[in-house]
Amino acid sequence: MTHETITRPEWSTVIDPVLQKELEQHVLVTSWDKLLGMVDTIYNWGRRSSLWPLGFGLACCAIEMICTASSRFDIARFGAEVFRGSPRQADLMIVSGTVTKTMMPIIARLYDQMPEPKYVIAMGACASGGGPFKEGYNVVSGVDKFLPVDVYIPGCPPTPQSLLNGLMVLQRKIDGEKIDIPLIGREGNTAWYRDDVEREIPVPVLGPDLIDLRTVELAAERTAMGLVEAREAGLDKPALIPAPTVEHAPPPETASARPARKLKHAVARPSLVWLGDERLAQLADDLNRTLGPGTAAIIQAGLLIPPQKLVPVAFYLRDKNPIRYDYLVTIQSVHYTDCIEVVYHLDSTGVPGSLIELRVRAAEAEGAGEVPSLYDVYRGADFQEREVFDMMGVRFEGHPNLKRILMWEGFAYHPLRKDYLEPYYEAPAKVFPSRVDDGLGHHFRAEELNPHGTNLKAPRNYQDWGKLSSLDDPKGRLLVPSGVQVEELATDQYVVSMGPQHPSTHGVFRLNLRVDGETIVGLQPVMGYMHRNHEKIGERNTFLMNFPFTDRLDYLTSMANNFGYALAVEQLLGDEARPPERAEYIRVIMAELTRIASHMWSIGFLLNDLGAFFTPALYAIEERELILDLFEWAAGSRMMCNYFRFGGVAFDLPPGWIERCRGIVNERIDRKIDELDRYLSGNEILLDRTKGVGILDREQAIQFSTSGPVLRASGVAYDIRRVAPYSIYDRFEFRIPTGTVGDVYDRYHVRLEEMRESVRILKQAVRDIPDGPILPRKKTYQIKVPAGEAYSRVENPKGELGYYVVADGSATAYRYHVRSPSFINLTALETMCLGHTIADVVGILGSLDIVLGEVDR
Amino acid sequence: MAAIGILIKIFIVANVLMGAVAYLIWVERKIAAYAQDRIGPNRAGSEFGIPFGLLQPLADGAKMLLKEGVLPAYVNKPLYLIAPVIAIIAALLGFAVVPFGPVGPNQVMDFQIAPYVDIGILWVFAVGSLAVYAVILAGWSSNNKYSFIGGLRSSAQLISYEIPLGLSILGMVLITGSLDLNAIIRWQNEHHVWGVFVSPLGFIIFLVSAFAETNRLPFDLPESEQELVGGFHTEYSGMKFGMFFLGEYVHVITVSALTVILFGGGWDLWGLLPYLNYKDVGWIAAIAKLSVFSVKVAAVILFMMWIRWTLPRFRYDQLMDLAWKSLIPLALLNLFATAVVLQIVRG
Amino acid sequence: MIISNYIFIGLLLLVAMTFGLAPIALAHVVAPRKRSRVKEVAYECGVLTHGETWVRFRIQYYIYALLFVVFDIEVVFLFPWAASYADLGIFALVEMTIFLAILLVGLIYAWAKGVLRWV
Repeated sequence: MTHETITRPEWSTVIDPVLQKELEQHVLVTSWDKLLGMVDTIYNWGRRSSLWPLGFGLACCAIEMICTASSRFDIARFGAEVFRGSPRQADLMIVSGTVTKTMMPIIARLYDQMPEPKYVIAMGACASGGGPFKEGYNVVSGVDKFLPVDVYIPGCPPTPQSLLNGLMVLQRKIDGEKIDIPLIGREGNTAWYRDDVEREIPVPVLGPDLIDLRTVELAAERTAMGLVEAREAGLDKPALIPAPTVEHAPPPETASARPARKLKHAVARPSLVWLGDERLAQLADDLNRTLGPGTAAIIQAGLLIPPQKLVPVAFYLRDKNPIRYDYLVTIQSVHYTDCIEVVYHLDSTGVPGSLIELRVRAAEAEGAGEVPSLYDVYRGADFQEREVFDMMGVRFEGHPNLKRILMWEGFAYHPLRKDYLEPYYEAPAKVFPSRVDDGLGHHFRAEELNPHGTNLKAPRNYQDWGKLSSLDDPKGRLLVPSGVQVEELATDQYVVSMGPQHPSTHGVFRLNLRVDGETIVGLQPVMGYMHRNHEKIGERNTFLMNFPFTDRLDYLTSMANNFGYALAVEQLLGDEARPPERAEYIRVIMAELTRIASHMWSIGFLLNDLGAFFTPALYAIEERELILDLFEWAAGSRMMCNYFRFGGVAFDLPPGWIERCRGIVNERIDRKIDELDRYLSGNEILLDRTKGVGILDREQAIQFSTSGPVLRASGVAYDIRRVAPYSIYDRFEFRIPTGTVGDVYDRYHVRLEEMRESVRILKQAVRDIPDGPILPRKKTYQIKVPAGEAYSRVENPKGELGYYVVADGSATAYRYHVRSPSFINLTALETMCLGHTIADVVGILGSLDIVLGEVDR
Repeated sequence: MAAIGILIKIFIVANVLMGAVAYLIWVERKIAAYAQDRIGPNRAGSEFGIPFGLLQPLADGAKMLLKEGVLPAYVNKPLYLIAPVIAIIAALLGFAVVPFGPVGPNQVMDFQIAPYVDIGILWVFAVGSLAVYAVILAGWSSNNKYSFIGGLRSSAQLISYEIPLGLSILGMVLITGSLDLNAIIRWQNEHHVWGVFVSPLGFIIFLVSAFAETNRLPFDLPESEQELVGGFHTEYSGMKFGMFFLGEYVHVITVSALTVILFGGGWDLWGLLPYLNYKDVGWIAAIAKLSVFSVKVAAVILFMMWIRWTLPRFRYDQLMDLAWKSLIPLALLNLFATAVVLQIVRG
Repeated sequence: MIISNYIFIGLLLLVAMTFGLAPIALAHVVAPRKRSRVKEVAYECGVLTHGETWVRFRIQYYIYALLFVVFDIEVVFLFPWAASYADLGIFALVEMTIFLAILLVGLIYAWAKGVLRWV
């Protein structure tokens, strides 16, 4: 044993044995120093034992933060369960998740508004350094770029245990603090007592990009020098491919980093279940006959519609066609060499499973593309068109409120265009060369490669540096529709912002409300505070590499997210990726367990939104924990499972897993569902608060493109598992629960019943699961995906999750779009809320069950 | 000389009250924990060998005292500063006429801060209403929209529930023929019948209104964290925020004590135990009565906490409807029925 | 005698004021104070507040206040009546029935006029 002295950090609580002995001998306070030491001890003890966190969750980590308060982990033991909604009463800011540029000014302001002394924990990889999303154009690479962080917690997301450990580390740090008493000239290390230490963080500004006011001159100078352009000039850029043509021609060989072997073109279909070639041809003929020749041409199983004909075609399809296409499924866009193609998927709720695809092409040049808006035909186009406008710069003529939706007004670029290179752009495909060890143990960090040293990029000709002001709120500039005066007596109306940091907006969602008293007269959802560039990053990831990113879309349902993505790519891969029987069963089991976990969470937190103080929520979390245990056992991770693979799953189920799952499914969960039903469904306050509130009738629900429990609660039995069966769902017996009124209660009840049906499916699945392989061939990291396009749809707990993938034969997806159910369901929020009260808005939002990771992607 | 003795008594009572409040917060957190299958605070104090997190209130207090009190620039400063003080004063003053043990010339001492004030109940209501000033001043002066809505909600709520609260106890006043709380206890003790049995409807109305008056769930609309972030105290920090907390819990104690006095027989236990007759004097009787009373008050408080961690919240219009459309007509009915029955019984 | 009873309450008021002011005063002395521009801006979920807070707010809250004044004063009249009910006899009952009826009619009137309907 060596006798080397180990220098402990000064905040360590481990008492030196010699000191301990001395303390035992001289219990009496003998000196001034010791007296001061006692003051320090008491002072520190008070703060360390009563750390009240700011009730504020950003992303995936926030879910684990909430779990930390649940019965299994119980942060209350440390006296830290008092999550305060207002920063004025909080001591500790737990930055739980990805810090986006849109959110950074909010975080800085909240931090500034907290009273001294205050502490910051950076929870998880994203908050500590950007994490998996670091390369994103809207992501701050670590909250410590702005705030002083006390404790970093590794993990993605860190488990609740890690958070508890982080809290204890912070407590130890507090133990080492020495109070500063100017009266007797003692200088401690408590900065908040000193006049010479500036503690205010300048609130950064959303200008052409996120601008840190402390370094604005430097940024202006470097931008003017054109360093960014100079750097970009030397980089390998993503190559554009031409849009598909009538001849089904495979796109020419692409200039990707690693050229794939020549592959045959995948069979392009809009979905596994769609109208079919023959009937599509007939539909095209019908359109050409009634609306004039040249209206529709079939291109790769989609109908190419000239822009000026789009609205008549949509009206025809909705109102006159034998199959009434009343349901707009998705809108997405692809950037090709010669055009930007806007792709619409339509389905019919009358004859479900007759999906068709419309393609409309707009000019390619930035800002030049124009397409007529479908707002008047399908209200569900509202947010989706705004998203396309935001991301691709295509203008939608006739859209009443065509503003950016995910980024902010004033952001200089349309980030999903192929010619937009993010500040941390390195190469068209991962793995970036800079991340590969050069043999000398040196990696480059993205910051070192960017001339600004941060995730910043501004146009060279940007002039308004001097005008940037932290009082500006570009996200808040959206007009809140002014409501009608309810009464003759003219009273003033309020515009109040609910969120982004609010106890019940389920994340960093924001509602700009116009209220007259308690009544909502105008409402504007504001989102994008969690926009972490999922799609842009997805176009740089290899196909396999993208799985873990899909986990983080709707972070409550990672398994189900995997499922949809796997299906999309399997569709391109064709028969060689057909999953074996056992894998199909495992997939269904995982997806249904996810549904139960997600609905449990949703019902628990709906009750929380209605004012029941966490008790129902924490009971619901208990059941979710059991399911997460199963996930952890099978996949290795509680939340971010990353378990699916193309053609199967990553690992076989460990021995004993099925038995335990059987036990939980057969004996525990349905009892718990009955318990929830018994305690909640008849509760009078719950009925008063939910019945007749937030009504979305059948027609509106379809018009707004809602999906999942929201759509079904309005009485439309539209469930992808039934209308467009995927995997082996056609083998199971289950019911599609629907509501009648479409109010909050129906949405709650549909979720409850869906859990029962999931249990039913699970019982059948765990009974019938066969033995066998879990992948069609041996594991591989290199997947050759043939060029083509595919749209896959799965019934996620939140609604229809769709993945639109365009492959060009290279190692990465050319275009990758996620149809996010939470995002599209929000379109209906305004209609549901108008005329109700503030309290109802919270309940209605809870009944929509949104997850911000998915809303903003 | 007597005044100094009284002052000491008042000081002791106020201190005990504050201590009780501090530990009520601890109890509330423990109850929340058990309601939610958790453990609750158990670390604070373990450094000094004290179990169950019993020092948690001290830690919270120490922290709050040493926490910066933010004074936002846009508030109305005098009102903003005075509001939490009013909260505490109103809460403490309400306790003045509450007899927490035997009171009378023959007793060892008067277990009441202001004994022989013959309008006991009226005093409680008069002072209890002052609490609304704390809330509305806090809400208005903060110049924050959430606070403002919280303050308005609170004022309308508190005054609305004051009426059923006042009406609900009139039944008991009719029966006992006195506004003096001691006399009401004595009547129940003489007959060994608690108010809850002679005036059950009054009891229910009183209990519901009491929940609303103390801003407890399911009536905590002024704070309603899920809607208004913190409601009227959104902008308060440090000790000033702590004062609202303390005031709220003192109010809870006062209301629970009133419930016990009016409808729970005070320290009466149906003659099951000795020393619990109003004629009994001496220290043993006093301590016995004090203990029984405290246990009953604790039971009511626990009930209130249990409700808080169980039920969701009403919406604002439902809350007002409950007061005006259900409770007030019911309370009037109760009053009328009691008067008629009394007339018949007494001939 | 009567007055001295209220002196207790005066003393309690003194104590209560001490309890209210002392912690705040103490906190003012010992707690840190770091002013900053952003800290003193009104909190609104992390964004800047938009428009005035002190506006002509919804009348509905005040209508309840008006109703309250009417009802509360009448309730106050009921207290002495209730306390001395035993001594007054049948006449008091009749009289109070009329009084309560008037009160009830007032409530029903307000109800029918839609004042109690929250809008």
